Amino acid sequence: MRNALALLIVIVLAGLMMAGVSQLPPPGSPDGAVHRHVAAHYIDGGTEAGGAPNLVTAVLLNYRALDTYGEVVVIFAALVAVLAVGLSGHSRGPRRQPDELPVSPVVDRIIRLLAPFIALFALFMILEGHVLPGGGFQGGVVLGALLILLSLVLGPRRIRRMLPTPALFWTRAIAPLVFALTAIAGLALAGWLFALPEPAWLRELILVGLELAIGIGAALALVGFYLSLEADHHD
Amino acid sequence: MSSLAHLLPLTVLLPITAGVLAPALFHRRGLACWWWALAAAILTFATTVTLWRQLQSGSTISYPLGGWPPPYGIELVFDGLAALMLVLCALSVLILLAARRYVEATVPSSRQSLFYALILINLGGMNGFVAAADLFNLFVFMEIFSISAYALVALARGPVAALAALKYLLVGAVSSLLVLLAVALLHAQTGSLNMSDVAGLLAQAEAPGASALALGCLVVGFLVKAAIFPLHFWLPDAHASAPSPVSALLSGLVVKMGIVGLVRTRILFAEAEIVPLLMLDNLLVWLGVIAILAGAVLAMVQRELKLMLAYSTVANMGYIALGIGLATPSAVSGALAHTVYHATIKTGLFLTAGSILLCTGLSRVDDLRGLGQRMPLTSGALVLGLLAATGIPPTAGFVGKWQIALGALQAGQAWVIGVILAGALLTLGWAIRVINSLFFRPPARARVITANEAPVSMLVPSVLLAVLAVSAGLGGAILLGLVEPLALAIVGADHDH
Repeated sequence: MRNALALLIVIVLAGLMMAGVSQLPPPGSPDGAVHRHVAAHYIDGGTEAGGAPNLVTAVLLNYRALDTYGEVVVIFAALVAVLAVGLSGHSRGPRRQPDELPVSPVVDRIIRLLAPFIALFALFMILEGHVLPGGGFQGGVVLGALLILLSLVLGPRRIRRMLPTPALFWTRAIAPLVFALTAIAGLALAGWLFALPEPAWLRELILVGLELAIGIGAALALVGFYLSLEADHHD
Repeated sequence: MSSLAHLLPLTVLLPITAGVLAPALFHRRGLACWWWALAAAILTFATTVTLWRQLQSGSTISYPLGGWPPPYGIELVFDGLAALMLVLCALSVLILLAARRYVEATVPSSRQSLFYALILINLGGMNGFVAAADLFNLFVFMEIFSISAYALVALARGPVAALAALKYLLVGAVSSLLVLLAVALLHAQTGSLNMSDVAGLLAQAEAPGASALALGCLVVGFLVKAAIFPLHFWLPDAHASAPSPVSALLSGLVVKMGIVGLVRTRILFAEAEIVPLLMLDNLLVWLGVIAILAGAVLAMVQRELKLMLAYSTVANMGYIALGIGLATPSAVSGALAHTVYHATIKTGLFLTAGSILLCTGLSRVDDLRGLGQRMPLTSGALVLGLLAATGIPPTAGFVGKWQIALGALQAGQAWVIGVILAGALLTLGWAIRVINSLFFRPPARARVITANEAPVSMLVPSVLLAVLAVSAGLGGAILLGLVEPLALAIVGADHDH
């Protein structure tokens, strides 16, 4: 009975939503409002004014930098939330974690073999993010996935011990911090917070720095989620 | 534009950067971290005071980030609604002041810096949310204060808090998704994200169905955040089981963000004139009326002090929704004034309840009998706060309710006054039960007899807020004068219904 009622409500709500969405301009039509107003302005002058050869990067890191800053803060806040709530470090029982999880030797070899290439690809995506599709978030996720794979092979403790705790917190905070520094640099050099200052080389340097910071921040957040889940699992 | 406008983004950047730095700088040094957080909050408060004085002397302050003119870039505005920041920052300072002892006693030392980081990030998120003039930016800041709020609830150990935080997270995530869907719908119709730009372009899109869907999603999403009945079900457990300073933060401030979102939505759609708002207003009136009665009755049947306070928040959010729904200048200014006053009253009440919980370990009202003798100042502060919550003149709770009642008369809905009175009487009912238990009954618990008065750092905010709660009503005319232009802007844009 309850299920039937829930199903009915879902169907009615879905019907209402479909009816609303059906009035939108068809996706991809060139005269849709999405393609005419702000987006058209970005395409007309965005590459030069935005300072990044890739338009998506120009929108993310220049026109709408505050949104990207907010997203970076969301990721950091989620990581802090997981660390603050997670059980790891709270209940250190006498049971010790096994230092190495049993991983099949084939998987072990392949991960070790591929690790440098994955790392290189991640770095490529991060550093070329302002020129080609890609960027800090995507590259950071690849890097984070690599670190998670390595923690499977090498044992989570090796990964945990790579950095002492305060240094780890500095690195985790790198993306919001670099963003804040960029914002202030924009105010000092271009007159507006979050503006990208003028000489092209400086602008490029800042974009690369931002992408790197976002990448490292995203990677460490992923690893942080994984390691605290993993630690809870063993406690 | 004066150079003071640069301070506007700082109200976001400053607390968030301080929060981000807190775990790196103060790992395992809780006291130093507390000083750091307090300093950051005070500095943010000073920034908002400067902005507010600028607002008083001239017109609204608008800041185009990166120098990109809206709608191409993101715009932050410091208008009448964004001036709520002043209250957010001032109360956050008091909450932080009271939080020190509580955190020392309940949060393990390795996590204290994380606690303060979350509080500061939460403040930055709320500041950004009230100042956002861009729809997607609004969503991003909503996520920032929401995610930090979920985590802060979960910081209280125990199965109730964990379950409450999970419920809060799931419901909050659904409401965020609804808001995001609405943003996408509006963007698809207009190609813009800036709110006033969207409002201007929406009528041209000639898609009333899609606009109505966007309005519906925004309203439901923000009603959840504002915990308006019947979408309040996540609130009582979350607010009651959270660590007490966090309860104060959530019940006093975070829940008000839903109202800010509703007001921004209403302004946008009133300007666009594509969907009639009469149905929305009627919905808010009815939900408000039910929330007032249900919240007050449910508060009455609770045994735990913090649960009573949490249900009282449900009732008070009902008053605010009712005021906005009546859509007359006095009712809306009453609702806005009540937003500020309720923030003050409820923050004080939860901080005081937190002192009692920390000093006695007791939370049930029956167990607190006779506490008035052992903790006279704290108990007195609780009594003053409760009196203000009932809305006895001249307390802070009175002004908003009186204005909403006046607005109901203007709107020709005199029956609403009966509901407002009934809500006040029901509140008085449970308030008297608490007061009776504290002052007129002999102690029943050993821990009450051995309890000592709360430490100064907790007493100062409690007593200050209690005194404000009973006396701020006297300054009601000033506050009503301040919110009146905003109230006129909210109702003035749609004379035609």
